[in-house]
Amino acid sequence: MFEGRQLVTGQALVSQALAAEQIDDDALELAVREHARLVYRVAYTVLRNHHDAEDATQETFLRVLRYRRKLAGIRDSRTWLARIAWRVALERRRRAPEVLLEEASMASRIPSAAASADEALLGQEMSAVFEGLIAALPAKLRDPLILSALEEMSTTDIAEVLGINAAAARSRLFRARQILREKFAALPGTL
Amino acid sequence: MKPEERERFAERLLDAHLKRYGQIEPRVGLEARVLANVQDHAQPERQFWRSQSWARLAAIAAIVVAIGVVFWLTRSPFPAGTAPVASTARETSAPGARNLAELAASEVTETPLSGVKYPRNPARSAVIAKSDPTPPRLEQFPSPQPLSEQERILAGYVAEFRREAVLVAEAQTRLERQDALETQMLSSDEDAARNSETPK
Repeated sequence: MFEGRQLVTGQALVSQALAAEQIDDDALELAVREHARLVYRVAYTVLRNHHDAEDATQETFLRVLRYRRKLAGIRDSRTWLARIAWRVALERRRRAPEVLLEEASMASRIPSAAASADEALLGQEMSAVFEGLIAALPAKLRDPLILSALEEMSTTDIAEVLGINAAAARSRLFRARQILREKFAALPGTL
Repeated sequence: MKPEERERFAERLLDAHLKRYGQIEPRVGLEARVLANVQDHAQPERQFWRSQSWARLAAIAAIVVAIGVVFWLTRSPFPAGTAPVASTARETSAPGARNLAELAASEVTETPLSGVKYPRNPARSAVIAKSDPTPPRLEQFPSPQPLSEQERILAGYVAEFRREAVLVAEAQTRLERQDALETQMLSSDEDAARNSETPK
């Protein structure tokens, strides 16, 4: 009798675990469908390489799979995912920095499909110049700037991803833009 | 171009560049690929829960733990063959026997048997060390024992009447020697009589 009760309790626990797992799986699937592109873009801003950015996206969601029970309790899953993607991308960049530099220069030459009139102003050479100027910025200023390039990211989101407060993010962003403007204006033959 | 215009133009170029920076699109089907990968990794874990192999693993682990606990509780604190010899030897009080026992004990403690495992648990070793009743080895052998009542009276008499004591001791020795001679003579007479009575 005792064994029977124990078996029933065990089965109930298993079915509960499976049900909870199903809920977690649904949340994870929803997160993938909604935020995979953002995760990819965050990874791309760091890695500047399509292949690595996709690998980083996969790795990000595998990490989420490991901690998927937390996902239901996360207030802002978008920022949480962006933060994980940012860390994953930084780790990958640390592992293979020499490949990334080469890919970054190639990426700057690929024209975007959604090129507008403003972007038409920007020739390949200008683009390469900006790429170089951004790369020369200190990481403290460069990180908020490249995250601000993503439409989805507000200053608060950027602050959250970088683990700093919103005021600091705003001031770093302002400073980075100011430095870029000054350096670009000072370049001979650009304007 | 005026400096303000230059800055404004630079600002527009920067915005355009950053826009392009953030307008990167992944290859088509990114979500499907990510989901497939995630499901691939989630599958083994789910199968583990569904196949009830967790219950089997838990049962095996419980059995192993139970066996370990029983073994730990029933194991003798001393290796077999050493403790009994040592303890009986130390309990013996006769001087001759003590000599042999001390020798045996010292052999046992100094040369442990090959392959014998001593207890490793420090708490257990402390308990064993506390419960071991063996007194520390003394420098003098045999170890000095306190005098009995009779010995104390005799020692007092010798100290007080030394001359008389010497005389008494001499007389006692003479008497014992005479007794021994008589006993020897009697036994030789008995042997001779027995030999003569034996039929040929």
